[in-house]
Amino acid sequence: MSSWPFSYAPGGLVGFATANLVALVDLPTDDDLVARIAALVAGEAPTLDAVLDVLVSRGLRAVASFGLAELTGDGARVLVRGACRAEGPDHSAASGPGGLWAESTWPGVTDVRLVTDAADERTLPLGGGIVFASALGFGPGALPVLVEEPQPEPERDLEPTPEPVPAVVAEPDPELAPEPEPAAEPEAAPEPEDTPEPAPDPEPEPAVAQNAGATMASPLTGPAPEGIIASVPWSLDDLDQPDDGPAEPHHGPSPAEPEADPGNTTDVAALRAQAGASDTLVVAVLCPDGHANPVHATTCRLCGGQLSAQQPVEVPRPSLGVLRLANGDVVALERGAVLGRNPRLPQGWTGEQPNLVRIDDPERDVSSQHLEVRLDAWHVLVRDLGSTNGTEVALPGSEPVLLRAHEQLSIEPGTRIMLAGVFAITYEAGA
Amino acid sequence: MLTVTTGHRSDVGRVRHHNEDSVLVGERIWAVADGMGGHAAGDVASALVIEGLRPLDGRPDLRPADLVAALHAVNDRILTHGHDNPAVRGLGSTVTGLAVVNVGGADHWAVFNVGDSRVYREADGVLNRATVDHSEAEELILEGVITPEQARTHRARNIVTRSLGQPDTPQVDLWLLPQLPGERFLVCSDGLNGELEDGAIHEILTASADPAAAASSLVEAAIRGGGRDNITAIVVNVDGDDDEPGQTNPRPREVPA
Repeated sequence: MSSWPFSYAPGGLVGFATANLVALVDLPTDDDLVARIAALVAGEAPTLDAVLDVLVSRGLRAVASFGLAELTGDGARVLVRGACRAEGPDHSAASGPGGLWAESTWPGVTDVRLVTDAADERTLPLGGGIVFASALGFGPGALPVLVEEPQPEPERDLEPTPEPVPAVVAEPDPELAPEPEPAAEPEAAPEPEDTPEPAPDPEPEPAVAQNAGATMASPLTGPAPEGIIASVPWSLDDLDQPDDGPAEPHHGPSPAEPEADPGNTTDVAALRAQAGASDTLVVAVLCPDGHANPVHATTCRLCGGQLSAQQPVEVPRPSLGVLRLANGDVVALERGAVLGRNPRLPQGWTGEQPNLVRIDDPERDVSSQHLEVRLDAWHVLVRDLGSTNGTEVALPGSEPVLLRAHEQLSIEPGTRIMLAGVFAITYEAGA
Repeated sequence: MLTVTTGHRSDVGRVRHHNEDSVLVGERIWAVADGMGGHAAGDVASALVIEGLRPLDGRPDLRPADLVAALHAVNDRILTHGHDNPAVRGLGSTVTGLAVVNVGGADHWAVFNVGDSRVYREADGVLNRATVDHSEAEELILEGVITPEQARTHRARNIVTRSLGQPDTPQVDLWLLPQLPGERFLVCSDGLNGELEDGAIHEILTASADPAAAASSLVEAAIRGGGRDNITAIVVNVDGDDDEPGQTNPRPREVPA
């Protein structure tokens, strides 16, 4: 090799170097994100955006420190977060407090180095691959190149199992990506093929078994709390989970200002678990069909299925049912509601905008602001807003009672509500 | 009796080569879809959304659930299109809009949204967002990490957390509102509010009483502001007599003991 394309300093982060891309991530090697990035850089044309997509796939802040640098042909694109910084001639980048990461474009720069505070002073050149590193960059580095005599790698056998080759002795072919990582776990390392096709490892590692039972993940499960979703170290099996999202790179180079491009609407929804943080979360147990239920329920509120003892999970609150109006129409209880002839937001309403349901009542028995329905965790609470003709509520199996004005009452499915004695509403469970 | 007048405008902007926004301007439904995905797939996705909603326009008895069902069907159609055309796998679209629905015998507005396009409502001289963006930036605002003003230019603003075209049927946000004379709605793609602050949007909207003129002014201002994305705006004016709700009639009735 005439010139080593990369250099690195040893350390505890995982460094990836291939073609025009280097990445330094603070993740344990058995983290499946590491396996996914390894699969990417082993692919044909890995991009910074693709690696970033993987890093944010568990949420934007899941990986505390990482650095990414990509040579674009007319310079370098650099993205750093947390303890990772980037250095180059006349340039440097570090993320400030509070933000997600710092991104910059360095025109004309090809000499970028991702560093951490604890960067080891010793540096070795690198042909590409995956290394334990505290710093990693393009170019052979400042130190005299120590040309390590590559240990003649006897082609021991044709077993597909990759060899744990010291990465420093990297492949003489820089664009062919990585030799498997230097450390351990040879049996599950990604095949160094140059197609991005995940190569599921047929031999599960026995040590994984302790995690294997933890497959609580369901489509309802929100942003995966740590430990809930079983992660199989180095397994690529779950890579074909719905990841058709980021087919488009996050943030293609734009002729305008790349920092503030309001363009490319990007979709990582499929990579993230289903719910957004703006959804109200509730603690739930799941029935065999996956319906979420309050923790203390014994049978499923939707299908009547038995709820077995289980570890509760946090899920986006499902619809708590519907209000069925006199004519059969329904108002979904995905949010609260205010009902009346001229419904408005009650004074001092906090929280998200409720449905404002207008009741057509030419006789004007129903008040302009008659009834408020609020959702609180799993509870549906009704309140008469001081109506002229009152609200009666009949809980299932009970006689109707007149609501006192402004007093909140928790209702159950099957409850009948009568506004002003003329307009009937039933609270029903179900979607 | 209420009358609804509308105007709209869509522009490719200054940077993009294709307009991936699609728009539906009907009699009872108005919507903007912002497509995403390379290989011109964005236009296909947003067009699928609009074609899926168009049949609802002729239905005087539209219920909120019909709207949600139509959007779920659109989601499946986009997915199928992606499966059948691997080159455009991953295509998707946002959708947001306004429709007249009937609930309990009374007409209502249904404001609906999946993604980061927006509906604004103006009434009594105040402009409010009627939808909540499904974007990373919105989540960062809710968490207090960034301010709404920072969000306008923040990188995370382009990352939508819900869209049509997903394997998991996306939840459709839907709000019911009574119809009130004097209110105005603006339905827009994020190319508009990405270039204009809410205050500027309000000013421009207020300056033109005519909905078509208002939509044009808004889009032109966003182009002047940079035009970095496709820009689409529909303005909906609601006029009519003030439907005086009147006093409620007190009625003597037997109250259960």
